[in-house]
Amino acid sequence: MNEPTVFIVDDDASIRDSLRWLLDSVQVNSEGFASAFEFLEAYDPLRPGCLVLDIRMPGMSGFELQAELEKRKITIPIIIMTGHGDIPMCVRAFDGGAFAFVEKPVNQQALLGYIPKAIARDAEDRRRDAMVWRSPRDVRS
Amino acid sequence: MRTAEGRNIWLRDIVRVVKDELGRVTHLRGVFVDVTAQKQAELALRQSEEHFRQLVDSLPEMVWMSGLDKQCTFFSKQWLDFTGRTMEQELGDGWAEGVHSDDLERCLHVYTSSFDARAAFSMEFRLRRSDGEFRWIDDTGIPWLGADGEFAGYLGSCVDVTERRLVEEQVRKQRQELAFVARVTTMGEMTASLAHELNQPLSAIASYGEGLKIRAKAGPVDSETLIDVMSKVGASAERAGEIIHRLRKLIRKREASSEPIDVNEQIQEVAQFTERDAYHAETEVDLNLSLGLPKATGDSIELQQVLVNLIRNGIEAMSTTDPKQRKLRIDSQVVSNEVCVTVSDVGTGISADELQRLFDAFYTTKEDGLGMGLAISRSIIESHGGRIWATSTEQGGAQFHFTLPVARGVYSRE
Repeated sequence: MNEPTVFIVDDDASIRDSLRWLLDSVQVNSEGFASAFEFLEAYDPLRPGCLVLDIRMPGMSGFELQAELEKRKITIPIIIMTGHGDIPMCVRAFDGGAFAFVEKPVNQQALLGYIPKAIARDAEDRRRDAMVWRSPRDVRS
Repeated sequence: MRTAEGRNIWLRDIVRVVKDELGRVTHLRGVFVDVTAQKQAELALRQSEEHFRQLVDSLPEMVWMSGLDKQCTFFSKQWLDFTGRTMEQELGDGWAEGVHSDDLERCLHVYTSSFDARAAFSMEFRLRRSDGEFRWIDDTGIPWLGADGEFAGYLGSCVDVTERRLVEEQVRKQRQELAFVARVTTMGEMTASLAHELNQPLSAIASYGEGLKIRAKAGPVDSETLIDVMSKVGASAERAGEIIHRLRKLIRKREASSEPIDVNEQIQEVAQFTERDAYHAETEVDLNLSLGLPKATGDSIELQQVLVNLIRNGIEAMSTTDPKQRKLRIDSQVVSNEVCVTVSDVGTGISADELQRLFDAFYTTKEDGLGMGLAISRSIIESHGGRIWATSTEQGGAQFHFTLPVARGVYSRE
């Protein structure tokens, strides 16, 4: 339960599967979700790790999920992943508090570089939050 | 001979020589038969044949006739002037000597098969003019009936359509050029979703590869893992290849062809091609394809172009519709010897004023549209011998319909 996990939210099964294979080869735990709803449904905010999020998804887009998580005061670091990233999109991602922004086809080294950093940031956030009495994390949505 | 009433009549004099028992001619015995009626009929026939010939020779068309044995029995002055040959040379099968060797077989096939079926025909072929130049001739033949009302052969008329064909050819080329430019433009508009579609398998391949490299560096990778990951890489590469293949097919510069096409197959292919667009627009695409649809004649790429256009229009028309309601429906059916395709949306619909101008060039309700999509779709469908039109549905959405003639097996105008 306390093992950090990379949560991959992408509507494309081959992207989820290949990223999980990549993370598996660096001994990082991962889980895949086919939609933002599926992730929101299943995610327990107590679980540490980071989120790898596709922008263009039907139903709820990556940006909408980012906003929803912020509304729920869930601060898990988010690595935004997109197939056609432009500057406005990148700005929007960082404005929304994204940890990193990568373009598809993903530069694996860059992604693998960001993941341990994102996980470390999350661990640090959680340590700091734990010291604050009645932290927002205790408010379950 | 003049009769007592003052009428001129024709008499036939039948005379017998009468001889005596010794064989000597004694006298002549004769009768006069009034053959006026017969004579008049003959004269009338000659006159009517003369009239016919004068009439036929005065026509701008080249006229020919054939008898029950399919052999030609008559060519008008225009024909003989055109070919520069004599009637004797042209009669029977002689005329076929002037037909271009590439056209002769088809020409004879149309003639003999129509003849056997006693059906009218119309065909185009090249015929050598007196100056040696081959000209395109439009030849229309109809069965003619003799005086007794029985089938008596064929009557045909020919027109030199070389100039018309040149103009048609130019128009056809321009239309194809325009359709090609429109396809490329559409592809340009679809770049974002195509790039996204291509990026998915490429990303996957890169991730599998990188993961495998990391594992191999750490130690030997067992063959089962290798096989597993390499087949996933292969599947992803194949997916990328399919996307490129589809794209190339649509933007390749080519002559439009005319072959039997399975309209349902084309609808399915285009639905796949636009799946991503529909998916991201949260639009449900519903195919209601009629089973056992006869094949239509035409060019599959141009047909796909019309379908892509109508599908994308429908998706766009629903951009302000509640996502739960967004539904694009494609129906195919056969209606009186035509394949009819309908693309229906539940979007904002079309006003009566728009319905009138919808298919005009440069007419658009979209901010970034050029207004060529429907105009080109119409030119494509009409060049296939079909029709395209739009209607409003009771629910307020729009419906676009187009028809294509069912492929005919017998003969066709080239």
